Amino acid sequence: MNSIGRRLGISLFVSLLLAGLLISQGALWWLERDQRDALSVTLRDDAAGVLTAIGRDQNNALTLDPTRLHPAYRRPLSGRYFVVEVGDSRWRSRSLWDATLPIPDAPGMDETLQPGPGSQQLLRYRGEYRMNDQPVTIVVAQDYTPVLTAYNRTRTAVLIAWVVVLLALAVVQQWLLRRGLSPLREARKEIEQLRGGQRRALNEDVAMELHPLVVEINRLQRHTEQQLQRSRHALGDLGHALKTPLAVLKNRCNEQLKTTDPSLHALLEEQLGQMEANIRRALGRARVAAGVTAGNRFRPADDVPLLLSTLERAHHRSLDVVVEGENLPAQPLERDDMLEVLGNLLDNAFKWAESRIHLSLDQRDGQLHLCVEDDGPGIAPERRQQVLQRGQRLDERTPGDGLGLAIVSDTVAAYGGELSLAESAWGGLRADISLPAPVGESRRSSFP
Amino acid sequence: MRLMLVEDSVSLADQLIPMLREHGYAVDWLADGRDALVRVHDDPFDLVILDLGLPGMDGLQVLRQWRAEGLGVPVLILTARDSWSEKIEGLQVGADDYLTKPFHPDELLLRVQALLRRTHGNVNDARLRAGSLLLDEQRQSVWQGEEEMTLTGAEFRMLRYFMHNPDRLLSKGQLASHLYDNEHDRDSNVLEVHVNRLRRKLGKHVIETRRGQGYVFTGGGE
Repeated sequence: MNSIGRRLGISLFVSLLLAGLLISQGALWWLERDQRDALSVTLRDDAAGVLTAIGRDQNNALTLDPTRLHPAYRRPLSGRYFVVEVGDSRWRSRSLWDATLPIPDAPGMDETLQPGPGSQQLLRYRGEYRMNDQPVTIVVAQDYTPVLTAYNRTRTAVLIAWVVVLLALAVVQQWLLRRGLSPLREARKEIEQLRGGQRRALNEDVAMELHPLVVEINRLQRHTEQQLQRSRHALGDLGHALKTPLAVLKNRCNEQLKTTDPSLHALLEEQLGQMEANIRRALGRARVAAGVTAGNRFRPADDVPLLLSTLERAHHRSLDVVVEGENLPAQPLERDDMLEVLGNLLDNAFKWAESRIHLSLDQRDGQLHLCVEDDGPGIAPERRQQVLQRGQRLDERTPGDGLGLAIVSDTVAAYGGELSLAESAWGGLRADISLPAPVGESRRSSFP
Repeated sequence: MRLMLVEDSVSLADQLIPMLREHGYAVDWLADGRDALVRVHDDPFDLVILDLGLPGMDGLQVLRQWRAEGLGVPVLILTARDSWSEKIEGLQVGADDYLTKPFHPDELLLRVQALLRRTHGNVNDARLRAGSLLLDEQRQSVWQGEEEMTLTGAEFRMLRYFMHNPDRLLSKGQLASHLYDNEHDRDSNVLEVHVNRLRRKLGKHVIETRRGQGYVFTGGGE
């Protein structure tokens, strides 16, 4: 996954490294040039010193007086050398020992370093003078290796220091980045909480750069919730508008036609029953809010006891109801949908159970598993599939059972889950449901 | 037993009111939520059948306000809203039972009977029991030991109210207001006539007279 923090960190590190190397190398190069300039002045003075040591002998010929030379020229490989060329004769300093000092092609400072005795690097100066109308060429050289080693040492030291500084900087910079990006991390955490149902909206008191984003997410969230509520209200109204007349028709049909025209009564009863089932199922299907990040999350710890107390009030049966795993955290599933699923399953169980009901909730492999068992008559294996598909009633005396299961089946399907019916340990019905967590919830992204 | 029916569909009310009266309930009908909100204080209702999608004020809001005012009258919600979240909300707000439309009229009657019995402390019994008497609300008859006696509509209404309130002093005014809705003429002589008829059928000691105060139903002892 692409991380802003890591990207910023790497680019900053590379650019700082390059800039640091360039600047330090430039500075060193500059310093070295200065050093060479300073040395060239010394070398010129040295040449002048050598010149003063040249005198005349009795024959009026030019000769070099060694006593007037700097002692360093006499010590072998001392690092200071000279060569004097007068006419055909050439004098070398004793310090050169058995090495030769080539004369540079042009007078003045020589830019290139000349390899000298004992792996020394020599910096040379060639001066042209006239004495006794004779051209005198003096070449002085000085060992440059100490300076070079000093500079190399400095360069290595600077490099190491720079890398250390950079590493320290990288640490500081990551810390700064973390601090700088903390509003993002905060927002990300809040979005997770929003999806997980722990909060209803994002905190809008955030950094200026994030503000429009957060406000927009909140607006969309509100919009989704309102939309859901509006459509559910509209469905409720539609249900009301359809069901009250249906109730009137059914009652009238029961009251009057049953005795006077039994066949018409049967026909109307059946047709009205179908209308009712279709309306309920269509409304149930339309109400499902799968895929919506609604603020109203299913909280087993609160909702299951509420549902059970409602069922106990509605059925007034002294049943042994055992609940397992109701202390799960809030689930990323819409509350009304889950209540519909559990409500219908448990309603059936309450209706049919002889004496006991078992409800278990469990969260494993990123899925929510629900299981409702009773010790009632159950459903014959060959009829189970039929019940789920068509919302058929199994027993006319207890209305709406098959319909409830069909609504459960629709809701579970909308969430991409699975519903299976089987025989419970007590011989009654066992309904197993597994619901996957919505996409995005299970895929945790990495972020510093 | 006096019921308040709050239902905005005239045709449904037209069906329910005769049916409820036939089963011995005094029924007052209201169609507007705001009226129901106030009206409930005017008469001593034993039970309210409340629709939720009401004009004026939503049924849930009406119920919420009643409960906030400390009104404890049992309420049966009769509505087309059939999702479980709505049922839970209705019961949380303070309803005692919840029936969804369309419904079978017998189902409504059974729920009303059960709810009335529960609020008076009788649970899970098909027949209403008080003292040595057993009242069969389906057949509108009373059992005393092994003997079943039929009752007229008026006797049944009165005996049921007595049996829901055994060993309590009930004034004539109280009896009248629970047995008759506003469409009935309240004549205390009629009450005395019915009390005497019940005594003749069930024995003198079943209902005692407290002079100047009213009646106490004793059930005739074991």
